[in-house]
Amino acid sequence: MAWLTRLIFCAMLFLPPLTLAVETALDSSGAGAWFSAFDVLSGERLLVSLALAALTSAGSVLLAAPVFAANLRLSQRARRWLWAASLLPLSYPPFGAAAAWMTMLAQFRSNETGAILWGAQTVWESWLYSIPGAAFVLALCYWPIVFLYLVLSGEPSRPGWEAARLYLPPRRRPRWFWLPAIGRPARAAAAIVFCLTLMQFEAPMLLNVSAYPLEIYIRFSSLLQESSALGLCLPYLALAPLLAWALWSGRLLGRRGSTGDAVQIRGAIISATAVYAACVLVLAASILVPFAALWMHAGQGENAYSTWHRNGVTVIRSLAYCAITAAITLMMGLWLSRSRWKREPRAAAMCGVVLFIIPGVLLAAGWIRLRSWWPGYQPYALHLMTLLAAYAAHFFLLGLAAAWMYWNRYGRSPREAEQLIAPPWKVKVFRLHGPALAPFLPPALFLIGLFVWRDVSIITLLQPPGGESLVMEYFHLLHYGSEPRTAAVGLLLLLVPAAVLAAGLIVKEAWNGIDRIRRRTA
Amino acid sequence: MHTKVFSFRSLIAAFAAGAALLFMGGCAKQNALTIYTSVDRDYAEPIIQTFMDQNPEMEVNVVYDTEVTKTTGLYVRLRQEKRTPQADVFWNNEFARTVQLKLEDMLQPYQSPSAADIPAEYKDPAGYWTGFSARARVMLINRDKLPVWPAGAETPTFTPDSISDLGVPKYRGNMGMANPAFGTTGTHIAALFTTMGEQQTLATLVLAKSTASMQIRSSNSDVRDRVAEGTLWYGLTDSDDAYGALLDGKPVEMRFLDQDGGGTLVIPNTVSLIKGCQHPDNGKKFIDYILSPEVEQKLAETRARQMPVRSSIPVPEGAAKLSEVKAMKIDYEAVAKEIEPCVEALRSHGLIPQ
Repeated sequence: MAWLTRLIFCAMLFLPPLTLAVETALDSSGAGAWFSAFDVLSGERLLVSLALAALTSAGSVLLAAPVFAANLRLSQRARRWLWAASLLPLSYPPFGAAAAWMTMLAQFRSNETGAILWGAQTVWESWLYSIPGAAFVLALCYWPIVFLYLVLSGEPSRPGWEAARLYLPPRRRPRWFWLPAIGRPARAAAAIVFCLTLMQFEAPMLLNVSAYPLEIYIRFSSLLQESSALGLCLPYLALAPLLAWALWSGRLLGRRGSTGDAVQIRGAIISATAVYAACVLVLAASILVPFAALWMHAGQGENAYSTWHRNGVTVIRSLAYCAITAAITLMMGLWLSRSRWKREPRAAAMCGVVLFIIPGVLLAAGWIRLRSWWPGYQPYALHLMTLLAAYAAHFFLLGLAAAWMYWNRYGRSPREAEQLIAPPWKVKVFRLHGPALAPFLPPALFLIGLFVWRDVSIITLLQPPGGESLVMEYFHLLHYGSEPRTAAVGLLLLLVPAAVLAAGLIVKEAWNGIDRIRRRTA
Repeated sequence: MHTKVFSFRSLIAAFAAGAALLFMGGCAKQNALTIYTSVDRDYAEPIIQTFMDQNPEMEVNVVYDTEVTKTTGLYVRLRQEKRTPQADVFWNNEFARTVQLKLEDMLQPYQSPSAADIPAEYKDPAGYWTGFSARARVMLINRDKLPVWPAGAETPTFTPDSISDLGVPKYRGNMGMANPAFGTTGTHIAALFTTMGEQQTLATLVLAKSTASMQIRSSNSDVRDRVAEGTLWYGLTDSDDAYGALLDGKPVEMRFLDQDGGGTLVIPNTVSLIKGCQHPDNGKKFIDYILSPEVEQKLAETRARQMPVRSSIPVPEGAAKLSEVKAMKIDYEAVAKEIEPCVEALRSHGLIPQ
C-alpha cells in the first residue's frame, strides 16, 4: 500500500503541469504546436543558456574551492560561522545581484575622479553585459551550493585522509586522493548549479543575455503560445536523467552518503595565507558588493527605517511562506525517501529533478488552471494552498536531498532496531526521530526556506490577493521605485536571513554552553 | 529496513485537513472586491486606500503587477482564470491588453455615470472599458551628454524627437528603448505597425539596431535611469518615467514624439469589469470611483504627472496638458490585434531581446 500512496502523491505533484499540457493540447493548435516552437532563434538561445549554465557551474566550483580549502583548515566552531556566512549570498536573488553589479559599475563610471580608470571601466562594463559577465554574477550567487554540498558530503573522510597522508607524497595527492574524494560531490553540486542557471531569466535579461527561459517566457506571456512554451521545455526534460544521475552519484542523494565526520587538515599544497585571502575575496565579492550597492542608495537612516517599518507585515508573511514550504518539503522528502526498495528513491529523485527544472511560471500556470476548477469565488486559503503546493513541488528536490542526508546520519543500526521493536508512534516521534532531527532540522529548513525567500517565478502568477512577498515587492520596485526605497527593501531582503541566521547561531552557541555546564555538573 | 511512518490513512487525513481549511476559508465575507492592477504600486496604493477608507465594510484585495511583465503577467493570470474569474475589476495602465480581453469575451459592459464627461475617444463605444489619466511616449534626452548642445547655446543642433531618430549612426550605442516584448513599448510598436505599416516600422528599428547599435533595456524605467546617469544619451520611454527624472533634478529634457508628424502614442489607463466576476456591484462601485475627476486630479499630481483626459482638470506647473500634445490617430482594436504578430515579427528580426 505504501508504494501506491507514494505513487499517487508523486502523480499529484505532476498534475498541474499535466493539466496545462492536456488543456493546451486540446484547446489550441494541439500537441503539434509543441514542436513548431523550435526554430533557429530558440536553438541559438538554448545554446546561449547551455553555455551560460556550463560557465556558471565551472565558475561556482572555482569560487567554492578556496572557501572549501579554508573550511578544511578551520576549527569546528569557526567552520560554523563560515557556513553561516556562505549562506548569505543565497538569500539574495540573482537579479538583485546583477542589479547591484550594474549599479556599482555605473557609480564607478559616473565618478569623474576615476578618469584614469575610464578605459578599463568601459571594458568591465561591456564585459558585464555578456555571457561570461552574466556567468560571473551567477557564479557569485551559486558558489555556496557547491561549497555546502562538499561540506555536507563529508569528504574527505578521516580514514581516507590519514591513509593519503601516510602513503601518498603531497604531489600525488591531488590526482589520487582529492579528485576521487571530492570529484563526485563537486560534480553533483555543479549539476544543481547547472539546473538553476538553466532556469534563470531575470538576471540574464537584466544583463542583456538572450537566455532560453526568456524565450519560454515570451512565448507564454507575450505571444500567448502556451503549447509552444510547453514544447520549449522538452530539452529540459531530456536533460533531467543526466542531472538526476549526476546528483545520484554525488553521494548526497541516495543512501551512499558519508556520515559527515569531516577532518581538519592543516597542511596542504597551497599556503594558508593564499587560501584565506582567496576565501575572503570570494565572500567579499558575493556579499559585500550587493550590500555596498544597496547601502549607498538606501539614503538616510530615516528613509530605510520607514521603509522597513512599512514592510513589517510583508517580511513576516514572506518568512511564513518560507517556513511552511520548507516544513512541507522536508516532510515530503522524509516520507518519500524512506523506502526498502532501491528504485523508489531513484524515481523520487527523477521526479524532483523534473519538477525543479520546469520553469516556475509554467508550474504556476498549471496550478492556476487546476485551481480554476473550483466553483465560484476562490477562498484565500485556496490561493495560499496552491502557492505553497507549487513551491513545495518546485523545491521538492531540496527536501529530498535533505531527507536523504538525514537518513544517512540516522544510521543503519537504529533503523534496524526500530524495525525489530516496532515502537509506538509517540516513541518514534519523541524518542527516536525527534532528538535525531533536532540538530539537523533548523539548517535544512533554513536552506530550503532561502530558495523560497528569493523566488519570483512562482509567486508572480500565484500570489494571493494582498499576499505579496518581500522579493516580489523588491522586483516591483526595481523597475519603478525610487532608488532609496528600492535599496532599503533590497537591504531588508539581505538582512532578514542574516538576522535569522545570526539568531540561530547565537542560540546554538548558548545551547552548547549550557550543555557543557550540564555535563560538567553531571 | 522499512518502517511505516506515513500511511494511506495519513494521506487521507491530510486531505481532510486541507478540505476543512478550505471550507473555513470559504466562509469569507461576501462583501468583497478583487482588483487586478498593473499601475505602479506607489500611485495605485493611495488611491485604492482612499476607496477602502470610503467603504470600510468592504474587503478589498489587490494584486499588483511588475514593470518587466507589466500587464502581461496579470493578463496571463486573467486568461488562466477564465473558467472562474477571480478578479472583479482590471485597472490597467494601458489599453492594448484590456482591448484584447474584450476581444476574447472576458469583459462585461458597464457605462459608468462618472465617465459621462470623459471624451468619447477614450471610451469603448459599447462600454466594455473606459480610459482616463493618460501617459504618452516621449524621448528623454541627457542634456550633458548629447554632444550637440554647444556650451551656452539655447537650442541644440540636433533634437531627437522622433522614432526615426533612434537610428542616427553618429550617436552609435548611446540610445535605447525598453524590451518591446512587454508593456507600453510593445503597444507603441504595435501602434506604429498600424499607422506606419509593418515594413517601414521594422526597417526603422532594424536600421536603429544595426547602424546605431540601439540598446534594448529591460524596462522603460531602466531607459530613464540610464539616460539620467548618462550611460545613454537619449532613449524612448513613457512620460511618467521621464517626469520622475525631471522631478529628481536630473540633467534631462523630455520631448513628445513626432509632434511635427503623426503625433505620439497617448496611452490612457483603462478600467473594466470582468465578465462573470463574483462581486459585480462592488466592481461597479470601484469603477465609478476610479473614473471620478478627483482620481484624475490625484493621478495628475503624482510624480507620474498622468495627463487628465478631461480638459477641465488643472495640471501641476511644468506638466503637459493632454490638449497640448499631438496624439497619434489609432484604432484601439487594430492595435490590440497587432500585438502578437508584432512581437513575433520583432523576435524574428532579432529585436527582442538584444
